[in-house]
Amino acid sequence: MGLFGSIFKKKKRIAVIGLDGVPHSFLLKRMKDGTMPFLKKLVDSGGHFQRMNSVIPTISSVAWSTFMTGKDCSGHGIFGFIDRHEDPFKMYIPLAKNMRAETLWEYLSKKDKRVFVMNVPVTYPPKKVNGTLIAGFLCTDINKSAYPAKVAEELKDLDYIIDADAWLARESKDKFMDQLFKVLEKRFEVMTHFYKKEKWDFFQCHIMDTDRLSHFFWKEYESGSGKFHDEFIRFFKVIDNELEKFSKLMRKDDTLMILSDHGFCLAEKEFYINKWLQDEGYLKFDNADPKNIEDMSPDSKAYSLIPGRVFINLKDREEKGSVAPSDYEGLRDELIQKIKKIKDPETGEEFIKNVFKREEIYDGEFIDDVADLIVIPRDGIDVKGNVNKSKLLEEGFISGMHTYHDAFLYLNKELGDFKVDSIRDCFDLIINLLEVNEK
Amino acid sequence: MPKKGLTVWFTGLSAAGKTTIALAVEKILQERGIKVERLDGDTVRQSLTKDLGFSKEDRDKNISRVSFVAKLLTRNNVIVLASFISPYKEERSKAKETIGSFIEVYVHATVEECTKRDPKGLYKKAIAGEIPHFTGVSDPYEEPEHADLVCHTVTESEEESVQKVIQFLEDNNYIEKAGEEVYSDEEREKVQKRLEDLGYL
Repeated sequence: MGLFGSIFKKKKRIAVIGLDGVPHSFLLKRMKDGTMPFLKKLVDSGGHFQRMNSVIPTISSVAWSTFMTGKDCSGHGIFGFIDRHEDPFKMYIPLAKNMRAETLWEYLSKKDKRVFVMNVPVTYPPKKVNGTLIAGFLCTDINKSAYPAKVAEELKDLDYIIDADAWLARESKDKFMDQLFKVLEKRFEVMTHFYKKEKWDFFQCHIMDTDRLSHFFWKEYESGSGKFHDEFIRFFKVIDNELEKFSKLMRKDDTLMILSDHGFCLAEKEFYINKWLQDEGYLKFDNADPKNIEDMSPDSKAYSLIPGRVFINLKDREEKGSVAPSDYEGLRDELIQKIKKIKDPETGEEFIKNVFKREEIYDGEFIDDVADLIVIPRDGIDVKGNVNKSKLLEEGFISGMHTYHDAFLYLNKELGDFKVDSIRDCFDLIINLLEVNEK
Repeated sequence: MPKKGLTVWFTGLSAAGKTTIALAVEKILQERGIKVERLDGDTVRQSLTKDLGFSKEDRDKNISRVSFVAKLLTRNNVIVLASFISPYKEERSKAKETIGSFIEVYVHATVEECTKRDPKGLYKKAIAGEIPHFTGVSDPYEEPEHADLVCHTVTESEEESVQKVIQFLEDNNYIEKAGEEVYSDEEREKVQKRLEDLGYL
């Protein structure tokens, strides 16, 4: 009998709704102010609702990879939306094919469970499952978006939209907001279509649109009034309403899980750490107008990829490596000391909370591929990887940024003895709930 | 994920380059997101088979236990890179029979060349009579007659040998070809722009 045997004896189906980047603290407010009466009703009627931690680095691709594998990034090999091959030195966009651990749906498929998975990050290109998988926003062509491939035809018939066009936000915030609502409503419509049609033991639909909304409108939300503030709140009214409709479709004994992968806060300033590395002489470029870190000079000692992943340009590891292995540890210690003391030139404030050596926070099988140092700023300072900035810090166009401590988990059941500290625990929670935890 | 599980069995003299090739192949497969495990003579003998010596009987037992582990991994769609001197034809045949999905890679270098390389100083000791049953010196090595692949590490560079193995795995549909890019140039540009617009790059 599984961990939940006595409590969930008959509960063999789970539906998961992912609300990307929705903070626990935000939902508490929305339940209190009447924006989300249905969620309040769910929580008040005996469900489990808690704050949980995200992952480091706090990015959706890493967080959902952790959700779907039960491993941290050193165990699944997805470290961000951009990564590098050391030799030959080349940037690449990590995709599902780069995932080095078994996913929840692959595991469940092996256990003869039928799965339906829609729009979860890092699921493109779609892999074979026992059921249906519709890839997330790294897919640019709807024809290639699904397993089995024929599902793509159905998606086209339903006018499915993979993702909102973030460029629109720069062109017209009004247009972007309209599109976000359209994409959200379509997402729920298509999800409901498949919910009614598919046979499943595990069902998951991911709402990416909450993340998009928060990135581009968090400042307006925090202002407390105005057109976009009101639209921001209305977005969650729509979600609450859709959750209510969805829950009515569920069987009485189904488990419903709703969760986010990280929280959000105001991005006061962006911090361009490669600019700092350049100013301090650790990072050099051969040309005056570098496009990305691939243009780094072989004389460089360190470089960074978003968000705050600092790599030592190590000899015998990196194609352009210049730092002798005997100097590696000394350089890491030197950088930690200096990075922790970086000050905002405008305010004099030190804003780096911590700098970790990779082995201090990870112990997975692929730890050698993790950045050598992980820089953690205070909430409000967004560490970027740009290489062509003239200032160390400045306010960016994107006004919302991710936070580590403020993700949430809702379950329409009590957890029993199971403890969830972070999104990583959800893998075990789900396989326990489905009673397929005997590996 | 590999398309199907497989054990790649590297056989050859000590210092022929089995582990070197297996390590490089492992790295490439990991970078492609493929599940891979390495079973190596030196490490296995420190754990799984540390009670065994190098007599014919013990060598057979060593290979038999390793084959059992490789079989379990292979059955679970893992690509196993097994590098063992495995000097006897019979033990290699048994391994193949046990594991099922199995290819034999003969990592070939002459005894003279291996003696010259001798990174662990083992040949020197064996020639001085300090190590009994040393393959190529005091024990025979039965060359594979029908290996699926031969890596000639005297005449080929490490890179060429590694590429040969990867090519074989691709050609025989054990793994996807590296050239099978997920994105077209246009799609790559599109997704890159999407990530830039979102502030993710």
